[in-house]
Amino acid sequence: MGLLFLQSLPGPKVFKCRCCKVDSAPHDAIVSKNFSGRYGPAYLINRVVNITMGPSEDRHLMTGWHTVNDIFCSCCQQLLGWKYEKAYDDSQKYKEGRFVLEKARVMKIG
Amino acid sequence: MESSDDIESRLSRLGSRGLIDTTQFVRIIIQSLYSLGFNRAASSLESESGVRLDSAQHDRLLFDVMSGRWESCVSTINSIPGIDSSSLINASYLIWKEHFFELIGSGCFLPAIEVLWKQISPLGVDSCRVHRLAQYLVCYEAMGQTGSMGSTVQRRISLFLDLVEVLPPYIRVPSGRLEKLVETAVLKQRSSCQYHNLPKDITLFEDHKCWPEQIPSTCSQVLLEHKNEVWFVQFSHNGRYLASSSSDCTAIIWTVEDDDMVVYKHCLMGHEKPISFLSWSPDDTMLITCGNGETSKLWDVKTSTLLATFSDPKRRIISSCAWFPSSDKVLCASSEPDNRIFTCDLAGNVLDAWEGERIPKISDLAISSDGRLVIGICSEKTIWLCEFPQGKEKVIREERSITSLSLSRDGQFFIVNLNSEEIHLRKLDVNIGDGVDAVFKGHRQGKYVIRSCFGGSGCSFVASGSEDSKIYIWRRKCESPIKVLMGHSMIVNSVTWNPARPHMLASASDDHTVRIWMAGCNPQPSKKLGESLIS
Repeated sequence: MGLLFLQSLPGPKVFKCRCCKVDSAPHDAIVSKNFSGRYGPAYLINRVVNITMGPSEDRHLMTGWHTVNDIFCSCCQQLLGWKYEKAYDDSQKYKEGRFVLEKARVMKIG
Repeated sequence: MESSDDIESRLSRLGSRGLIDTTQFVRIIIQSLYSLGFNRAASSLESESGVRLDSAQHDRLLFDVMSGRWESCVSTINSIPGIDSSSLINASYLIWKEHFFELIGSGCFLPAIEVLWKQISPLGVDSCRVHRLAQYLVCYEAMGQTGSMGSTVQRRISLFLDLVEVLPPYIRVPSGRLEKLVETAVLKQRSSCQYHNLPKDITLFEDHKCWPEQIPSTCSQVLLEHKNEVWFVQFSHNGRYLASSSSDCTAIIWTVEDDDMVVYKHCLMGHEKPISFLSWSPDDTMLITCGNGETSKLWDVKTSTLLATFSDPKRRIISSCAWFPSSDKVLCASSEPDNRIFTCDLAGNVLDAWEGERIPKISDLAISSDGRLVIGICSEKTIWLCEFPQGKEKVIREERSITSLSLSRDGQFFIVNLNSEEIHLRKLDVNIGDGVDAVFKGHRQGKYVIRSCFGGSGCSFVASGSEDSKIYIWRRKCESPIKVLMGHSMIVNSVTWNPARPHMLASASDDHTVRIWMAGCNPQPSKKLGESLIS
């Protein structure tokens, strides 16, 4: 579909989508490694590139109610994780605007 | 002959708002009649209307200056109603200066000193000028250069002209005043005309107004030859050819006929990957196509044969290229495994290269039409301007990622499409500041490379494709689009405006078609290869 505009990340360590190998997130944007997603362990990351977002949903996660958007790789449409749009618990507010990247869906390079 | 009392009985103000004073109006008409050479008409208008071109003070002043009666000059000037004090001082200074020079010229130094002492210095003008006049007293030869430009008569005439400049304008109507007023009005109409695209003769009989149909608005042809998504389309510099490239790994050259129909010429096959970029040589004889992640190929346009393939022993991917104005060298940017910007000749031999750790990844490259400035988009967020071959550099950071770059034909401006659904217009100059000259919004862009272009007569419009299958056209001064063209069914990747025919626009879309849009004409059915559909 058109010529996809793919951003490339500089820096030695990046995460790439496991299916189509486009850059997804830089390694130094990791905030926490102790998250768990739908498919196992996951990272909390500040910044991801080359993704498209799904619609907003209210979901009940392990840590409470949140409004999240699923994120998909813009190249191969794989589900990579989600983005926290809004957290309803004060202790979870730090997650707002950040992304959860499933470890099973990305691979670490470098 | 009507008496001059009649001017009283006529309206003293003209115009729908009563802004124009009749006497002034008649005076500028008389002045333009004189300047056109209709002396008899002008003088009969003067006697008929009773309005004289030159005011009474003007005639008196002229007489006094030419006969050298300086005292009465000054008193005439003082008697001009409404003159402000600085003009009064300047005018008096000019008069006394001329008197002073004439006295020195005729050798009467003592009266000259008296003039300097009694008349000029009390005026309170800039004291350096007064001191310089005093110097002339001592050094007679220096005055010879400035003072005696010709005979006394000529000097007095030029004094009179200088005086008239300093005095208020109603003393003497400035020359060409009527023409200037008309021209200002016409220029203002033309610049406020929104759709001004096709150059038209300016007529004084009606206000200038262009209709929305003067920019490309209807689809006149749909070209169906490509078998897959069309990613890039561009007219040649002379506007006689169109090149389109597609993800079916081919590029097609079309001819633009004299009746504005676009006809299939030849298909360039040979790439193995989709062609993402193509570039016409400045003389329109050659075309370079860049495959997406593959080598670039050079084609001859007339014979549609492959001239060269720019392959690389290290199998680098050429992301974009730009021609030098001499049409014999090409600047290429490549990436993976290492970033490199290099110049090569038409056989593919590398002439010059910038490479190394510090060279960023360049996604789009362009050269200004005089060949002196290179622009590159580095690392998606930075615009890099560099004087070529070695010179000043300028780096501008954008907030969001830049997907494409386009230059205007006159080489003065460039536009960049951003991921944030904005197009930024900037001046093409190494010495500019970081501020954006104009921003255009309204189209949709998020995931894909969408290209835009300048166009129209004088490059006064900007057009862009969009992810919502529409084409947006803006005027350069305005942020919102003035026209939205609908017709494609999938995203419009690229648009190009014919440089030689400002009424023609072409667009490339993922729906496998290239559409030609024309200004103000009705779409016509045609039975050629690539039949056109009426949308």
